[in-house]
Amino acid sequence: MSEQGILLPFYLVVDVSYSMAGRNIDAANEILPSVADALAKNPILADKIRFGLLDFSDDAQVVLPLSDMSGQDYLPKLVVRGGTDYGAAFRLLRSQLQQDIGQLRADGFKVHRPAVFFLSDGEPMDGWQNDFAALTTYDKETGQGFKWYPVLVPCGVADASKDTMRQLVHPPGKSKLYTMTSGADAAAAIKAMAEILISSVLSSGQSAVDGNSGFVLPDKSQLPPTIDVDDDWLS
Amino acid sequence: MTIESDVDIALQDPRAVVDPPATIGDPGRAHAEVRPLLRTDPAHPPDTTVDHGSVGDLEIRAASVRGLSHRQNGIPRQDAYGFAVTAGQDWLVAVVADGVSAGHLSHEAASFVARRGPREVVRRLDHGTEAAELPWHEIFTGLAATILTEGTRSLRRYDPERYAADPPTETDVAAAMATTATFLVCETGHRRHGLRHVYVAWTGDSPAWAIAPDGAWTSLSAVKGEGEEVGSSRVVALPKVPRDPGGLPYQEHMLDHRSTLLLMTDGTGDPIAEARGEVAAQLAEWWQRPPAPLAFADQVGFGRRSYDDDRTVVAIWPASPQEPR
Repeated sequence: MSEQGILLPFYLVVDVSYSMAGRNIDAANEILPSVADALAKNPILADKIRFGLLDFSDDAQVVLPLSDMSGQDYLPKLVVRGGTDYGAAFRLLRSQLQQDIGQLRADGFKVHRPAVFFLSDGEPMDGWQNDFAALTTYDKETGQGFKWYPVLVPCGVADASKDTMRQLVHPPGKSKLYTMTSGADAAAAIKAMAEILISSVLSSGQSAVDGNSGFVLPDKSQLPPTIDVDDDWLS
Repeated sequence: MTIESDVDIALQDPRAVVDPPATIGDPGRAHAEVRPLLRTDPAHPPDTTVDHGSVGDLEIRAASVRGLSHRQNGIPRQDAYGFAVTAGQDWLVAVVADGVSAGHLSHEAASFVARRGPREVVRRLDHGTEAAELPWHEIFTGLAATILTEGTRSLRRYDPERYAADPPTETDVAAAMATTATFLVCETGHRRHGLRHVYVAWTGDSPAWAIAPDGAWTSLSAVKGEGEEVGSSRVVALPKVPRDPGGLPYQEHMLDHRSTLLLMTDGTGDPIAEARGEVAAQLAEWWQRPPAPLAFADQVGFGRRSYDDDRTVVAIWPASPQEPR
């Protein structure tokens, strides 16, 4: 038992390939200030939440290192570049999780399993599957794999294929796939994804305050109309 | 400093004679920023309660402070404490109770335990039961029965339509109100060799500790989550009582009479954890000797990031002849 309390780490990973240029990247750039605003209004949850932003195209970058969002005078912006390599995102995410969670635990915090919202608008280049497996596979019995694997919540807009995105839902049962309803506006869908993300941050934080542990996604009835949820899992 | 100069300072800046609120380590934002909702329901316990006094050789402080989360959301404080003293003033009985947050009337269960529990123990001591022979299983079972009886009344009052035809079942009451209870029974004098007998019996996760004169902490009950990678939030709470009397945890201690005895809910116990870090060190420093009662309440409510539960501490010191009583 630690004496530093509970932390819930959240990451947003955003596709910044060229296809995101224009209103889509503008909408994505509104997410970070919205999260900061939501937490500014709720200091109790803010004390428990850490938030980080990563982007990726041909390579991946840490845009905002995992931080407590309060007193952030400057929030960084996403800028589009290059293609869509999920593998690069998963590799960076794994090394960041390793580093961030390791540091928080070393500092004495009790750290909840990290949650990652993964926003993409297109088909990835081939060859990401091995990096995904390295990020998400863990065998509790043998200790093999990545102990701090995240709950990965894929959010697909525009041309992101449902079939590809569905493979990213991890662990099935805890996570869900969110996609844009067909014909919806991608920028509006990104804003709707931001609502889902913030709702999840707040309700997961409240769950921790109430002494429960659990990553919480919004109820289906609360979803914005531009979003489809895919959670019909057969176990 | 003369009294006049204090007044002068106060006139210039009313905050100048008030210390900043107690914090330990990074206080986070909530401790400074949460705006408590005013308690307007007279059936709810006050935001903060404080007691102080002495019995025999002992000096006592107690404070129960509503947690930041409950303050923000206007939920009543669910912690409570209580005392009783035997007729001969030779035994002090203290209890802390932590209402389980899942039950919306758990503050009532905690309050029943705080009011009735110590009296029930003292009644037995006054009738000649040895402190080491107290029938704890019977005492806890009796308290559970009180919660069920009083809880049935409360639920009917709270929701008369629902329970008009059929009274609430025990399951209904247990879902609406549940509480931990940790009792400490302590000699008010001390025996030869400077040792003091202390008995601790509990159900749930409200711990008891002793701080030795050298600042070392000793657990008098159980340390939550010890040896566990991930703490469990499952708590055995009244009105549930283990069927097997042996299933009720109990410990006896012989302590240096100069020790500080602490009985607390997990709102304070959790940040103390295994008493190896800065929280334990700071509390040991603050509570080497009895602080002023309101300072004690402020210290019980210390700010520390991500700790927002109700806090309750009953602290017991040997009175020092050098100190004003």
